[in-house]
Amino acid sequence: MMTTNSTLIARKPLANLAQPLENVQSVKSMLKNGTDIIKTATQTGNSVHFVSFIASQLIRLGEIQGMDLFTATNSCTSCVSNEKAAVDRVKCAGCVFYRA
Amino acid sequence: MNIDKVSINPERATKRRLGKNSRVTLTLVGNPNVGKSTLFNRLTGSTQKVVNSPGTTVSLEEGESVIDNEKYKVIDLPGAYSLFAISPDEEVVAETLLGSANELNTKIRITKEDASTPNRARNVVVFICDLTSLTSSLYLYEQVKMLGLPVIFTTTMSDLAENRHQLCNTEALEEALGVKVVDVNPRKGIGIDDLQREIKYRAENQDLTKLEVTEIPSSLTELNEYVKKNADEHFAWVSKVESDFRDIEKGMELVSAGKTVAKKAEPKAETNLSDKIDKVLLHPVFGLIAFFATMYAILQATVVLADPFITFIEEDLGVWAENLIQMGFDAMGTGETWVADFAINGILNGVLSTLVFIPPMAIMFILLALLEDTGYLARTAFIADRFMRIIGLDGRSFLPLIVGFGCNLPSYEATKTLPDSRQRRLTAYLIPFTSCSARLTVYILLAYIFFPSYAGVAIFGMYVLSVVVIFLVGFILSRFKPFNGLEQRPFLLALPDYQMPEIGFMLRTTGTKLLMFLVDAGKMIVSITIILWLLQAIPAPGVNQEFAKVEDPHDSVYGVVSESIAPVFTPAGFGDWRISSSLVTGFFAKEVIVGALSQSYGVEDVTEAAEEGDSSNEDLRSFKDQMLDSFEVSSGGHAGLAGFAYMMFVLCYTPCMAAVAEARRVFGTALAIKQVIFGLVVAFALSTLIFQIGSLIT
Repeated sequence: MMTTNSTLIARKPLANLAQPLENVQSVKSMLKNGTDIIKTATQTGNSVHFVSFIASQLIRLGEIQGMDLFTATNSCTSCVSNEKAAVDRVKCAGCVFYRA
Repeated sequence: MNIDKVSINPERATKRRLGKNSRVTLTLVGNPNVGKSTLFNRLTGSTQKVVNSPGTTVSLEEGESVIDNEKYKVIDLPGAYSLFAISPDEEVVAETLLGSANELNTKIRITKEDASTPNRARNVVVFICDLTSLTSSLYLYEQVKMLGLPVIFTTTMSDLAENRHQLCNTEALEEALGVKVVDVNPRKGIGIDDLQREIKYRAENQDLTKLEVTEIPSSLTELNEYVKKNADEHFAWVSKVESDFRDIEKGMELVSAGKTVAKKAEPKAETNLSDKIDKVLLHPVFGLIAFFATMYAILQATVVLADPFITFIEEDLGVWAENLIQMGFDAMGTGETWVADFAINGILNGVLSTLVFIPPMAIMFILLALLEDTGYLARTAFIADRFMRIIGLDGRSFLPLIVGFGCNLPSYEATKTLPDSRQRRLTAYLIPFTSCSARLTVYILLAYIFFPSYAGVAIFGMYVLSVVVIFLVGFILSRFKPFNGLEQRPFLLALPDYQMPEIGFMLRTTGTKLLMFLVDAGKMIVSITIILWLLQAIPAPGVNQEFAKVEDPHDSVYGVVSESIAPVFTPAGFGDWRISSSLVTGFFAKEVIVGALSQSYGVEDVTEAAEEGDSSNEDLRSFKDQMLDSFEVSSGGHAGLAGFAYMMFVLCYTPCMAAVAEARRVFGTALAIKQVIFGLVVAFALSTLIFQIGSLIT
């Protein structure tokens, strides 16, 4: 456990963000091209959770539309658009209703 | 709020965070549902108050925390997922933090130029990270940290994360982040001492002379651009921290166990008990059934369990207190004076009017806390979301509205679970249209008088109408500023795992809420009751009776007021002073409308006889005849139609004074006043429409 004095130290810079950055950019690229979350997660080696997190933030940033993300077939019980679906914890494409 | 037009106002931001004193301000920041408000309650106890963020409609909770005899101001900011703000609440979060960062930079500059100035930072950010939702918390943290503010990284839900085999070792997280991590469980009070020590240390040892000015955006627009531009790096940083966290935790476990430890599961990679329960409770059919059954049970439990306590307060306690006061005045020889009457019918009546709301509110608050604590509240939002979107709200607004059907009062407090201030305010405007149980007495009586053959249908119809009005008004309001555009927002909701409720904490927070209601709303209720007493005590001009000795309310100023407003209701078919006076009284409490009508028509109170449907009751029969006659006259021969219009007016017009007082406590005076006016306008418009169109048809 760190001592109290260490609370004032500046954040240790995280070395080598290049690889995670490359990974994020490939995830983002696939999502923007309309690949669904599960497929994106599988192809990039990321968890569904992490990909859905990025997807939800990209929707907030206005970089992608929620409806374009999913290719699964279940209907969402929440989203007014009644667009495509939800698998695993990603409950809905339209409203990005997911278990965080 | 159009963020393009927003720029940081240092003076406003300074006032918001620091007030006019030099106390250290603790700003609580985190995602929604991370335990932020629970921590706030734990730190501040019952010193909370609601303030509007300057220049916005967003309400913030403020309180005071005492650590080693030093007072700290604590601000509970709304939950946010990102400093890229997409709602008024998130704009307040971003603006407040940006303002703090600007101020810190200014202080650093001043301190560097003049060594004699105080060198302690006066603002400490307490960042709360839910370990079961690490990714989104880290993403927000990275943005907050970028502003250069002193931040204490606090984790919650570590026990849940451990149970779910997620990353939970806070020492490993410290290593990964490079900052101290304080783990707390605000529900159980664990780790609060550590956090307070850390807060105190930060407040006392943040040496401005050793800090450098941080380059930060100068406006919300710039901040949004910054977040958007650096999103990839932020995602990568989150990914890297999580990866390091996983590796370090695994390494620590290997060292401590001396053997191979299975790799921690990726977040949410396995089905847990919550998932299994969700298969039923979020099921399109069974979920709805469970949802409505739960809501019905809550309403029933509130009414049934509260009833004996209300009866005790009204009858036993009320009579006992009245006798005691009367005896006291009798002993002083002033038992027949207006002072005794004022003490009993003014002050005591006001106090009792406040107290009778305590039992239903307490039960409702406990049940709602139970829903929230177990994790079911978030599921109700999911279930109700589809149909609430019709009126521009999301599923979370359903709960306050359904609560309103029991009593409007706790609904206002329940709106605090809503994430967006516009949603909260729109919901607040709709709450008065939920037909609370107090209005049922009026429906029963009027249905018996005007629609005796199908009274049951008429009463049920009023509840259907209540729902129709809520959707109609909500649909219209959601099309206009400031409520339009709500439905376009992405609905991001974390579903927490189900967990056992912490009974002690639930009771404590319920007690705090009730205390705040008693102190804040109670003052207003007593004041309004005194005003009503005064109106009834002062004889009307030309009436030769003593002050506080007016026997017939028609001979008081109250009667004059009622008579003068009666013509207003002529278009709705009930322009009779006796009816209008009952509406005035109904503002004080909907339960007393029938009593007021009985008094005006010169019969004994028929509330009980009407509730029991006792048609042999002489007073009730006489009352019915008189009511029919006066409605017949005031409506020009359309008594039934005017009766229906009157019921509609009772359904829609302003809620009772206690509810208005509670709305004022939660939302401020402006909204409480606007809500009363809005309710009156809607009630008048609908009742007039019903009467006028009905008159043309019949």
